Amino acid sequence: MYVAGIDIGSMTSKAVILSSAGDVLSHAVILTGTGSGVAQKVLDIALEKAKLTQDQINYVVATGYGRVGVPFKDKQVTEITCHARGVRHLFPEVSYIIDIGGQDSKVIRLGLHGEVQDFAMNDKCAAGTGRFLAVMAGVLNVGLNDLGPLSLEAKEPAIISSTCTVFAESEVVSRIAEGTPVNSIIAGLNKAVAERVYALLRTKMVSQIKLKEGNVVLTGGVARNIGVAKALEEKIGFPLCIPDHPQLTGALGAALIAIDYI
Amino acid sequence: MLEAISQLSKSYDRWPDQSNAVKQWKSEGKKVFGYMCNHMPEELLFAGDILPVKFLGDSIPIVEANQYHTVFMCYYARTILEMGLQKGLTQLDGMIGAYSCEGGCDIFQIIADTANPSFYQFITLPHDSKGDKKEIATKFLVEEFKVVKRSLEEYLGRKITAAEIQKAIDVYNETRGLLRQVYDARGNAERPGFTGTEVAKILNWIVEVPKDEANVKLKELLAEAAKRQLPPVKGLRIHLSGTLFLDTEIFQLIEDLGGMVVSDDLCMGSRYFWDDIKMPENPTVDNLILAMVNQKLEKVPCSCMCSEKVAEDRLEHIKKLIDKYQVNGVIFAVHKWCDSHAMDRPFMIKTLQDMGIPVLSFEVERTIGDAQARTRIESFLEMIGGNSSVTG
Repeated sequence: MYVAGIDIGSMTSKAVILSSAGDVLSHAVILTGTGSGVAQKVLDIALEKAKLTQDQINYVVATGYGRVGVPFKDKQVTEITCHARGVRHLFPEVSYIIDIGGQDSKVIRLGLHGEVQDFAMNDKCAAGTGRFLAVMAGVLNVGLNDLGPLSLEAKEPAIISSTCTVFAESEVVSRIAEGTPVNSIIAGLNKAVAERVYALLRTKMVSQIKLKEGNVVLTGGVARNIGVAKALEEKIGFPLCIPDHPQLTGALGAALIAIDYI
Repeated sequence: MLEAISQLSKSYDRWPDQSNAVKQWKSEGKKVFGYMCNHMPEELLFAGDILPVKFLGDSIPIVEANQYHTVFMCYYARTILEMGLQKGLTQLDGMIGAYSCEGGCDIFQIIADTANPSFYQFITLPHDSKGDKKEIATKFLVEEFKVVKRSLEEYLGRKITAAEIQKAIDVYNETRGLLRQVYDARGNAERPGFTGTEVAKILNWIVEVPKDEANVKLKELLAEAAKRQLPPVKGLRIHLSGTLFLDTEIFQLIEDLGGMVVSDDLCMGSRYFWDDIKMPENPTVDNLILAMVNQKLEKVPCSCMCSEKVAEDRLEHIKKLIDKYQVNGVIFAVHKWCDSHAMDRPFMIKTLQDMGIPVLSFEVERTIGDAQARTRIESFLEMIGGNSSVTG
């Protein structure tokens, strides 16, 4: 028997197919874009990789902002719950999850048994999210995937005082005009995101569950940006756990939940 | 939804100029006044045959109001100003404001200046009224209410008698008692008489219509509710904390997700009606006004009050309701830029969490209907529902 987890995010859509034993058979990530049918497209890619057909899938759990609109889902579960399940599966010692996605960033605190104890999401604006970095990459005319490596080349990060995407854009333009090296600007942007997300983490930290190496996991597409990860690690004081496929933990969690229903 | 509750929306409108209740009242040659804050003594107006209607606000785009006031102000207050500037309050004969929160105070004075009603009065509310401040606060508010009464009498060209005030208090106290019965019917775990959304609709309606007529309708609704066969709430029982909402969407959303709002301390909820006015044994005008003042200063407090332990007092109310209605979790949904609620919210959240009660807190602006709010609420329900899927 097989199950699928579908995570329709604001920027990318993800699918994970598992066997009933929990083995990962395939996964896929595509841009969400506009229009309908993205859920079917990402599932089709994952099915092809797993050499399966859709009628062999016994249960589908949908998550992410687009979860409501997945036509073939058997159940919808929020991304908070799915990330918690997916990350806990990969890192059994996890207590804090920092997820930086395209549209929002989240912090999830887990209890001893992996239950969601509390969570926080950023306010409804792009500050501290992947969208912020995507817009800035456009302004700087560099690839989104280059933001991490380029920032590591900076001698020191430029000061970006605003994490409001609109105001930061004009600030970046000013820095360019001043002749600030691009890699310094990027390092400043990554640092700004890290500071914003760290502040979110602080709102959910409790004295009973201290931050320690091995219990803080960074997920979401922005986890692939080594510059943001390093800046966050600097704030927190130790290395973060980052999954090999940090974008997929929501879909993985959804698929693991699906197993419970077959 | 009970058909009778669906029909309630026909008798009023968020825009007072469109309200059938307002039209009906005025067609009888009587006056209608608008107000914003629960500290306004409705009974005094009703005693003078004036219909008090609370400003409900509306989820409209703000255009004109931004010319008069900063946007760093709750959306509710700014929509009222927008209504006034869009000539949506022209049927109101008067307005009475009360100095509760800074924002409401500012907005109300601008509305009065721009809408130019034929009667306008502003009540200065003592914000510190507990302990050794109680005596002087009481004296002060008594004088304020007497000024309102005198101004109304001048405006109406007649005296408002003790018998009229007593009758108005009786009518309003009956409304309060009936609304508490409505809450008890909704909170019945085995067989709820109303849903959370239905009760929210009742509260929207009750502040816009004459209370004596409303009491008749409330009794009918309670009788219908007693005959209903609503199933027990399968999902989680939620207490909602905040001020008021520009629609009933949050109530409906929680129901759509399997839960139900069974309790609240909203200003358009239990804080509006929970405390009766204690009728004095010797009901003179002075005694009746004193009784009204005592109720205002002793009722479940609004966070705009600055008395010592004001947050603790409201928290006590919340804790009682949590026990009474078997609440599983508390949602604070507070208007962005509402400084008063922002101040006491952290204390209340921490205290509730320390008691082991799950809490979700987020801010709303025009409406809650964005995907992120939905995700927060849905995640919260999954979290406190002990979703076994999380832990596997």
